[in-house]
Amino acid sequence: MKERKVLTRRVGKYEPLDLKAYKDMGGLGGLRRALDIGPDSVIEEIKLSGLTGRGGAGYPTGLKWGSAAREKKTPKYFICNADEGELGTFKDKVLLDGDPWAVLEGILIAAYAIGAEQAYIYIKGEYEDTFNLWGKLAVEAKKAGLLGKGILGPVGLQVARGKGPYIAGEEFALISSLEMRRAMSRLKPPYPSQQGLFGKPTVVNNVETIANVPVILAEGAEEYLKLGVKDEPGTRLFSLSGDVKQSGVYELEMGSGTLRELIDEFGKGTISGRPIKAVQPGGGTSALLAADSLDCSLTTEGIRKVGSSIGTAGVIVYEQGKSGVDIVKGLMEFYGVESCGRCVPCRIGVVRMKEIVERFSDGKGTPEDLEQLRQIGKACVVASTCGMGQAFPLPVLSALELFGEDFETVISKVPA
Amino acid sequence: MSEVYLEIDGKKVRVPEGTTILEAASSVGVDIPQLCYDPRVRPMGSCRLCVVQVESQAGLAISCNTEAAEGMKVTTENEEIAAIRKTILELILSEHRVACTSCDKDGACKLQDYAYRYQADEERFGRAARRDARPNYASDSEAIVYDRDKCILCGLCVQYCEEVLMAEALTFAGRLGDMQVSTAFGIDLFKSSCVLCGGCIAVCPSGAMVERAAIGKGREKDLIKTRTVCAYCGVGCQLDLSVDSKTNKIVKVTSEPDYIPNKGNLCVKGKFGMDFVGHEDRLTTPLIKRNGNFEQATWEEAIKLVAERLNNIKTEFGPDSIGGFSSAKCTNEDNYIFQKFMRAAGGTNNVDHCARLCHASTVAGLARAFGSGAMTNSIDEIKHAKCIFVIGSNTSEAHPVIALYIKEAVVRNGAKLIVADPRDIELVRFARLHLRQRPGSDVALINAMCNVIINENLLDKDFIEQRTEGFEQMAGVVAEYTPEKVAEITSVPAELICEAARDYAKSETASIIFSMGITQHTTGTDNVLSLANLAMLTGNVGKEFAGVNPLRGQNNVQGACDLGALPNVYPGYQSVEEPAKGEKFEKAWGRKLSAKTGLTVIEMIHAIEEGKIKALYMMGENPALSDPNLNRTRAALEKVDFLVSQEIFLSETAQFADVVLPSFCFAEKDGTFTNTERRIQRIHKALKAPGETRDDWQIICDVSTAMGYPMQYEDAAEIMDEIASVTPIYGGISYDRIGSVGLQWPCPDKNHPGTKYLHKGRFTRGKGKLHAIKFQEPAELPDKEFPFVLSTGRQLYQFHTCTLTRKSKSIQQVSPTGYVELATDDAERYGISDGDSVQVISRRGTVTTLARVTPGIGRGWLFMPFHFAEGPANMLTNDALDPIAKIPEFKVCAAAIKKLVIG
Amino acid sequence: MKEFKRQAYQKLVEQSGGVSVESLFVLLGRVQDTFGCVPREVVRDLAARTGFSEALIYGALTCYKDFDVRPER
Repeated sequence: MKERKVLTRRVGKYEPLDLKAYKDMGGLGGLRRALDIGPDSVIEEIKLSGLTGRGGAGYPTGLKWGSAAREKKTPKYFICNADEGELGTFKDKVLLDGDPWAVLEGILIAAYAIGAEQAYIYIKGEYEDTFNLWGKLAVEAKKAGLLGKGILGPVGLQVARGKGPYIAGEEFALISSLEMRRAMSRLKPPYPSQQGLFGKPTVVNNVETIANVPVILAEGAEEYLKLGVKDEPGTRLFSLSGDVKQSGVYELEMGSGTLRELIDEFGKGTISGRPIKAVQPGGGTSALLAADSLDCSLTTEGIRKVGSSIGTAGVIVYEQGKSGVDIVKGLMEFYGVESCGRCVPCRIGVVRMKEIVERFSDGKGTPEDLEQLRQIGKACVVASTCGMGQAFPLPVLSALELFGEDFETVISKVPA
Repeated sequence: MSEVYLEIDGKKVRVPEGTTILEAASSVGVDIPQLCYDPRVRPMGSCRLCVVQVESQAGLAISCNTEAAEGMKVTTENEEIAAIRKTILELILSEHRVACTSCDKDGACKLQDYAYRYQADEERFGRAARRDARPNYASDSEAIVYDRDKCILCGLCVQYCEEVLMAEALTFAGRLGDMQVSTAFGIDLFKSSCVLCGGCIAVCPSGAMVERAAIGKGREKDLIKTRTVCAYCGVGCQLDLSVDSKTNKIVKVTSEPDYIPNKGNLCVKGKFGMDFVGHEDRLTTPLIKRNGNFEQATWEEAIKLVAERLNNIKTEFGPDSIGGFSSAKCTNEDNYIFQKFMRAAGGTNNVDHCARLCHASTVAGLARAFGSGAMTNSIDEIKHAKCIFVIGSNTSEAHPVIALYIKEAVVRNGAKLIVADPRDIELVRFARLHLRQRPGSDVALINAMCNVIINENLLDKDFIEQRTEGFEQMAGVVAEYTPEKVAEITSVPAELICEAARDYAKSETASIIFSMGITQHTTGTDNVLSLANLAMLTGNVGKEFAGVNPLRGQNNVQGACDLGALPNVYPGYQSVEEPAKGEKFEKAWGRKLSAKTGLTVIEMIHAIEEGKIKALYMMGENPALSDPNLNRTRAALEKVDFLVSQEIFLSETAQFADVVLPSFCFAEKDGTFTNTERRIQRIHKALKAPGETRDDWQIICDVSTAMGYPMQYEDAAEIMDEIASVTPIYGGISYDRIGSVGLQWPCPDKNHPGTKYLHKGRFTRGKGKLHAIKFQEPAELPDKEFPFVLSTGRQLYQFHTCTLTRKSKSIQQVSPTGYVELATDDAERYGISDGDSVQVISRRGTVTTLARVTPGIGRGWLFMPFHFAEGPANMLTNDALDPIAKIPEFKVCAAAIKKLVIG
Repeated sequence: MKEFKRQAYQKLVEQSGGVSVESLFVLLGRVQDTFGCVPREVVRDLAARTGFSEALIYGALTCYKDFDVRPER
């Protein structure tokens, strides 16, 4: 199994602010072609390429663009979501820092294709250096005529810095945030492409998604389709972390290996050398997989088949010796304070589940608590508004299923 | 609109496209549980209780945000759904302090109902921790209590405040675990942008927000709800009075989303202004003044005295030496009886009421232009107008619930709003154009708009040709009023005038909304005629969503006018000078009637000075505070030989009276009010009247009978039947037909459905008449000695002379006293700071009040609310009259201001 | 919390190309980064200049842990 560097091919190869170096390495080819063929053909090309969102939901990018482009309302907005908040996910930062011009090129093509005159990049608060870099990059881009009243006509780019909440990475919460509202998800429909930022047609794309765009335009969709497998073309940036010897971001062709190979070959196995206990293949809200499910293909479908999801492709490895209780406690500590408060199951459910998990961790759990975890978890999955509420219980529910004995063993022996 | 068919729990449902599953279910009586749905706001989807199963769809759907679609098969309840709902409720209960035993919401609480329905265990997920009792934004509010421990954070209150009121006082604050409803920075509610509409309480599903005054005063089961109509402004909001029958007190006021015309919305006065009803200062027995002091009297004594004195004066000085002020606060039945009494028993047409001070010029102007003087269209139509031209109406403060419709038109439906007002009134925030005209320059402004419309050929030629007359003469005069010339008169830039004219004329439907800023001028009738010109030039009258819409100020001022409490017309605007009408009423009432138009309100006051009026009978009016040039008015009240005041409080005017007769207030009566959109609505008795008080019509009947003209009715319904028999526009009105939605006149017969908008196809007078109107300056202009223009008007919290509103603690907290608004520049020039005591002086008087310095008013202009007995603005106002309508010029007089130096 | 200086704030506004609804979040982010908090004065000013209510801006700010706003009670 080998890395296939498409999006990461220039990472670290040039000074991030050096536009000339970027151009010398083939940069802006996608943008030039986009301008040649016009917005409609750009959208067609993206549709043809089969590109899907890399932020977790996996929605076809071309469809999003197409529906925003069709809307008559103006102005329109494009937002690049760089609020990389999912646990175990840090691949966007690699692109933002290592090949920012490619991300910008993607943003410009997207704005051009949907007819947006104002674009935003919303950078995770903790990525302070990235934020500073992009502030300077925007100035450079304006000088070079890429932003402002440049070659595309007027395009502005606002560089926004996230201010904390995890949920701001959710599409509508992010939009709300830029509207200076509380970062909260909203009911759909209407979708952002119909009524997004300030009620106007808006496209929100993840950084990695948008970094694919210049490649598709420059090389052509047909060429792009040669990457990956049928139905799932292209590459994915896998963030590998947890109990592995070598954490990192690895760009792999879709379907070019199995989850186990990724962990063994790139992660060099577990830190302690003990066997793997469990893996989250798609970030902190994806269901846990037991060690016997790791021979699945690294595709959306492959991972779905074994009972989890590819999500953000943030692979978190847990080695033997950790209890299922410890695993979910770590997760609930994080998610347990991050509900936006918009809807009841998530707002209250996440807190109650966190408390119950903590009881187990303190050796005070009860059989009734187990039942409650399942009950609340199910209500959240079924009845929550957005992806967070629907997904945060999944690792807990899967832990109960796979590692139920870890919970049973810490049930309080003292009768309540 | 096309419809869709679907099946809900096996029931076939047919609903318009765009209806949600939740609404569709409710239309066939299937109650899907929800804690965060309100038809007035966009779906929140926060409680998630309304999940349902849609056949062949994966997962559950949120029924409040899923549109019903053709062929859908919906299951609203099954084992899985019930389990989810139970879990959700138990989660909510783990955060909600369950205190049903002491909660005011007990028995009217949706959370309680659903917890019961699903047998949710309140401690299943632990007992809600009691948070520390930190004060919050409402802790010091007299009106509202916010209990964070009961709040389930559904967000409805925040959404209502933002979307319906657009007051944006409330927000969610804090992060998970610390989340709560708050004002900006947690400031006191009464210092925020809250307008005390009480909507947050109304939508709260969990008892977190309640009326402070109602706490411990009764739960749903302890109270009797009576539906009636608000007694304040002319909007005619329907509301429910909840009364504790043991104490005979109103505990709270509520309204429901399906009530017409207010859709459950109220303003502060309706919501928190009802304390006057059971107030200890209410009059309870008749009073007779002896040696300058009031003494309690029996009804027999009082009525005998009144009848004798009136008869004596009538005999000695003739019938026209008696005058009567009827009341726009009283019912249609009271007003009908009052004017019948004055005309038949008194033999005079000297009957008028406070409409003279507000919309006399509207009635006169619109009658001349269209043939009838009332709001042409309905309140609900406003939200669909494409363009709304608000001139001389501070709608948000004087008619708050109508302002909601205007804002809805703009914000939700994209209407263009033009506001013409000297001040930065709240609606300016929503307006595309704000024309800040000099007070009193309206005719010039409107003429200039007509000028632009004619010059740019934005006319509706067909309409003008087929439906109007007088175009040539009108166009001739208007030609002189170029935008450039008028810019100098009005101080509105010419370009703005042009844009306003274009917006108005080019919109498919344009509605003019006006009120006292137009009418209370010596040119009031001219102002109204100009507006009628504007509407007719562009064909914006006689059709839906357009029209010329005067907003009436008192709850029943429309009805008082309709029923002939005016000196020139019998009920239904039938002229007293027209012999045929006179004969008709002589026959109906069995008395010879005067065919001479009587005196108006102000004329009666002036006639007292001349010794022509010797006796005045006042039913609930308060001219000693409401009329212009108070010193003169009060001198007249002092002088008149005999003054009867029929009142609920010993008002400023009642104190001048010789006899005071205590009457019912609206909450103690049965009857009807007619609101500003001509809607006749029922009011119902909600509680027992205090002491020996009697109903107004009853008192009048007793006096009349004692005077030798017997009047006797079983009840108010019988009076309405008589009204219908002599009043063609009310011909089809009867109590059994009014029901809960009312009927809009004209309603000529029992089968007529009522009239939503007037002048469709034909004006009441036949052809609409365009008038050639020249601009005239107000009666009094600023000069060296009195360099300011002073306008008076209303503010949101108080009503009229505060007789009613000042009894409310909630209102007193936000509106403790009067003030004068002046521009920041002027304040600097005069060394006046916000909150300083100042004297405002005119040729007629001097008052002391507080300065309110604001950038929201033009240089050289002052504004004072007229409500307050301390610092009464009407000491200053000019009693110069419009020659046709006899309305005084409250809106313009010359004044000076100076800082009050104490000591 | 660093001391709030009106001049510094005005400079920040200028650097951000004035006040607009579209850039409000970005601008407030800069206010926070510069002053270590968002003073009520700023919220009041921006509310007046954008047509947003103070409550809306305040409520929004309190939802972000990296914005520091303090209730007045």
